[in-house]
Amino acid sequence: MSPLALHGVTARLGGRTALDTVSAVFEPGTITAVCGPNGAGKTTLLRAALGLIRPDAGDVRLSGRDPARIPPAERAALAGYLPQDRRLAWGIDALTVASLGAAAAAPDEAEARGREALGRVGLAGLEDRGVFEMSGGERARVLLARLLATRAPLLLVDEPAAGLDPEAQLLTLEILRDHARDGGTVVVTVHDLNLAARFCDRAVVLHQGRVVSEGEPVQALASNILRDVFNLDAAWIDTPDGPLLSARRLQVGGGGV
Amino acid sequence: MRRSVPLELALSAALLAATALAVSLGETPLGFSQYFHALVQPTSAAGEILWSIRAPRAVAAAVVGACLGLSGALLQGLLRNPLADPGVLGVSATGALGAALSIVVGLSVVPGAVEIAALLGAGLGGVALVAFAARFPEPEALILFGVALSSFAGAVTALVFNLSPTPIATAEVLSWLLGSVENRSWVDVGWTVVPLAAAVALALHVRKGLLALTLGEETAATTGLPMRRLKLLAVVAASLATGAAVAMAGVIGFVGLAAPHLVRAWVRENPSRLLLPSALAGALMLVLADLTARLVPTDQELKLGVFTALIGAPLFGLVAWRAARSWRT
Repeated sequence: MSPLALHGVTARLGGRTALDTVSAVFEPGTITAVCGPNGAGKTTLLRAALGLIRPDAGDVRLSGRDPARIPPAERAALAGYLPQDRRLAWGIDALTVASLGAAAAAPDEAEARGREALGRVGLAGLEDRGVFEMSGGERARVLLARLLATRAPLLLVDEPAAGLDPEAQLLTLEILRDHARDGGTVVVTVHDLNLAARFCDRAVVLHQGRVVSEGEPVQALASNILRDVFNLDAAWIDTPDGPLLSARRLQVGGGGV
Repeated sequence: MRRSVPLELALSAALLAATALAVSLGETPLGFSQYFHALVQPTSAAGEILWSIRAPRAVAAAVVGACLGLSGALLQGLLRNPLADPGVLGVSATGALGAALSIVVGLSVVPGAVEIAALLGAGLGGVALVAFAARFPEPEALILFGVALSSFAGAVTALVFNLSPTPIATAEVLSWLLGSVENRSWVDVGWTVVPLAAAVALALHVRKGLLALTLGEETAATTGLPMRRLKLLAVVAASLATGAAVAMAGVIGFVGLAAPHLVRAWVRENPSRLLLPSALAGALMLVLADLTARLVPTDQELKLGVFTALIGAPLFGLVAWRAARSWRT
């Protein structure tokens, strides 16, 4: 049974169709990039997967069950979520934030998992630091540690690379890829198509709420998709570090208006 | 809890000392032998002053302060907003409206009726707030809604005055609305301790949920905690505490704002560790404020609610200024 499957999911938000008959299956051992321009429905897909919004049609299956009907503790054991919004309400210490990944576990267990996760994101020694005394990049790592502390097999990650320096972007995606290599399932939305191609096994491309392409990232993000969906005149170049996108913006109306 | 235990012990000790001071000091000067007399013979005149007038009043101030401090900490954690306070958000005003209505229709002769009316009013205010916060989570929007709720409840209370049959009932409600713990008895204290105890128990039950809310509404919902239930219980706890405080002492503003603010740094801003220290700080503040209001030599005794508002309103401005700076970054 797949950790996550969507079948013909349609979701309307505020009168707009955010997801339009979306079907996709996410398998263990894979990291899948969900790509698409702003407003394509990427975040809505993650939220629907978690049962945070109810689809208007179609159904979502989290390990074969309707996520909205799974008791919270069981659902948290199946899927972890890292939203794009990194705002925190209070300047609590890094360890307390990371331990919230295991909020439903016993306090000692939660703390041990939080501490281990902080080590994995390179923040060992900063456990007592308040999150408001950290840089934006450090705070993003604390939140990534919270996600890892869930120890959920399925991780749903919304724009983890946004606003991070290049090294932190690579670290974040390496950690997520390792989770998939260890048999986990990762669904990650990314705007940086180079990161998608380099780190992900598969890409699902959304455009105006519909899945317009899916497959290996370089194939799913072929030139015609880059042109029609992303408005880019672009091609992939092979490099020793993986594929690299060479792109420029398409002029509206083919160059002259 | 570990880190907040020393703070709780220190606050408890300070509260005991302040209460002892409030029982000892007053308008009627007592000599050493009279204090001694009061201790060994509680039915003596000095004993009456200490144990039937000053002590219940001091304990009433402590209980009301604890209610407001707890309610403020709960609301701030629940709404992720350092400006949240039962007074600012209108929960006190809806509680006061409930109580005012019950007084005007003559229910004050029924034991517990005013208290229950205040609890119901505060409960309705709390539910309205949370319904609004679920839809518009931005802190600024919520404060504005709170102002509207507070103004509306105030307007309806004014209407109650307007249509009140007798000027005596009006004067009674108005004097009570200004906020005071004057002439409170042990029975009044008992009526407030019960909802406070229930609110504390609920608050301790929901504290992990408040901590999870630090991450934001949606992420908290994925942490495995039963957030919907915890949030509802937090509102119930805040409304119980606010309603109990309003029923006992009328509207006393800003304690719910100031108490969490004073102790927040000591618990590293952790909303789950803030609850008991905030309740203790609120109790301490109100015992000291009431003692000061009693001892200030004025012709008419200063009303406790007037006194706390005079100190609390500038503090609200200060907190708002600091919060606004943090929202900008």
